[in-house]
Amino acid sequence: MESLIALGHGFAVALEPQSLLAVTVGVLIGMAVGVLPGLGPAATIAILLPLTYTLSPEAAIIMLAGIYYGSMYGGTITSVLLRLPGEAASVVTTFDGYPMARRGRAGAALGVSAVGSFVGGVVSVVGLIFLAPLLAKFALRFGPPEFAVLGVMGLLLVIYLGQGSPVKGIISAGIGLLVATVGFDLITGTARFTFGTTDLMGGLDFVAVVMGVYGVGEVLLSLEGSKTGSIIKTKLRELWPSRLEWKASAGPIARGTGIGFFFGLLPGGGGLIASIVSYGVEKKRAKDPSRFGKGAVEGVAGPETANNAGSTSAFIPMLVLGIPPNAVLALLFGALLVHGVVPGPQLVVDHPGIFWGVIASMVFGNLILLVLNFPLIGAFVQILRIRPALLAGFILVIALIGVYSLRNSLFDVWVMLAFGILGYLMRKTGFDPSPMVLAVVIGPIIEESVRQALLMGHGNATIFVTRPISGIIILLTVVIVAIGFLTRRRSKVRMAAAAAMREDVPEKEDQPTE
Amino acid sequence: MKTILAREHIIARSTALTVELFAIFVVLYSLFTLGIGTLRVPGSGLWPLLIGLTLAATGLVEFFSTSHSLAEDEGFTPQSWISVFGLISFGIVVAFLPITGLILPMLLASFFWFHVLGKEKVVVSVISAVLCSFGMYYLFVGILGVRLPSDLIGTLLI
Repeated sequence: MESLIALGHGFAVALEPQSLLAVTVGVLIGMAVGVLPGLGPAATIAILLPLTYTLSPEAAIIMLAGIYYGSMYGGTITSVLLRLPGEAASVVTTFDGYPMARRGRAGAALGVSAVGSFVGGVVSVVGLIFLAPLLAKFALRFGPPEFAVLGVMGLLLVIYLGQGSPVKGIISAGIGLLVATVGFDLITGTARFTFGTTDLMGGLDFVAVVMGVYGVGEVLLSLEGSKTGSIIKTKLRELWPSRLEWKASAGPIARGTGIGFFFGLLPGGGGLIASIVSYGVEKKRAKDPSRFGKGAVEGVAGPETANNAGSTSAFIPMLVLGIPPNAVLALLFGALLVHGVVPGPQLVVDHPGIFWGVIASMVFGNLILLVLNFPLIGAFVQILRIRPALLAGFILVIALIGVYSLRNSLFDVWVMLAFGILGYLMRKTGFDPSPMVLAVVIGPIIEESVRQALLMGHGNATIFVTRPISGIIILLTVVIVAIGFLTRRRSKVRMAAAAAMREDVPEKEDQPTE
Repeated sequence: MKTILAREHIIARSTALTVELFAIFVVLYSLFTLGIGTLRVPGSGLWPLLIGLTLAATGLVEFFSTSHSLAEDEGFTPQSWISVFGLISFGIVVAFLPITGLILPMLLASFFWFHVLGKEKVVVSVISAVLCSFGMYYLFVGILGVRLPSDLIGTLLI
């Protein structure tokens, strides 16, 4: 009951003109960047972060959150029409979405995706409403050992459940943790890694680091133009799925919602893992699994629903525990800090307007995305016609002005440039920068908690295992890492099989675009 | 094919070696410059030391790893020179920012990006460069009130 009253207050915040405008602009930008391969939600949030300084904290977070889940809808469009996943979580959609499009069922694939995403998103919001306050109350029992273990668990799971090599993931996270130590050590007052430079005394600015890695790094990659879009004339046929397709999609949408919600809660979770698991489940349940990879509507409905449900429930650990579960939410975490709001168990009590306002805005955001999806699909696909070099110029100038305006510091701009080079080199050498970005954000939380825990335990490091909650978290981490390792191996085999089947799709069938 | 694989191995080994050297520096810096204290009273170097040791261990594993296949976007190609030139020109814009302000270096650099690196037509490049410099300056400084270093051309505009 208490939650529902607070939610009412959240709806009042979300219905304010500035909030409505923020959510609309956010989801539209999100949908646009979801379409563009390369420029993902993390890069966009990093680039647009400085633009939100003039907004209220509520409107700023509502807009940035809209970019995140809006990009999940946008990524579907190019996955289905062009087999170009605009963002990572849409990769699975290409397996059956594209073959459906080749059979002239592009509209049906996009329709099922939009409705599934809407259902997944809204049900997750409902879960968020009831679960988040309970978890917040429980999290009040957490002390430094629990937060230290949670932070390390978050990082480890991002590395193990992620796509790249775990060893490279650990290196990436290690660099991020070191970046977070630069500047004055708040406990002893010692300057670390500053080498006598006064500019480094206050530490490296998070926005400059992230904008460098994601903004400048991505732009440099896009300049090489490996993934340019071709000129497309879209004319979609039969935008609404048939009764049979609806019937086949109902189960996957329901299961995808549950799978997505659960995997979104896990550190390292979010849309990508949820969509992979959902695809595996649907294929396993199917009477004829050989249809998968050749245009099975269940292979689109389940993963797309799970993707959006997972992206929404991933807000719970970030808002309630103050531990962002993935790189995009680490950026939102940073955005909240920039606006003077500290995410964590006290957020619901200290800033109910932000907490409930963001949740309520997600209902409107999902509704806007559902309504706009169909009429704007054609227009959004045209975004791919923008040449990478043109886009790069505008992104670089926005990044430059944004970082400079943060503290009127030219040093921050050089920091951004340096991390742009690092981000570019990391991608070129096969390192995923996401663990690094996440580590930059949660590094100070982990370090402070570790040191406080050691002080609490009078130098006894067993405090991390002997306290019941932190002990259970460690045990859970071990179990999840083990399961993750096994499912990773199995999903690789499945994906390879699906890719092999995709190659077998007949060439002569109807084209969705003309 | 063999040459590509050999190049991938060289890149991977060099990267791992860089990580290893960096980790050794971090460990030494934490031990001798910062001081690690004790577990009862941790010093400011204890946390960086733990990270440095982890990096050193993973760097070694990476160095001796045998599978170094790079994904689609990875690896350096002749196209990578575009990124190098893009980066240098962006560095020049940043260097000139406190001297001339934003508009002039941005105008020249964006024309270079669009016309030379992006191979756009001259007209498209000029229009886009004007939008990217004058347009963005007007949007951020004129409308949004963002403070930037004083601008030679901007002061005449706003």
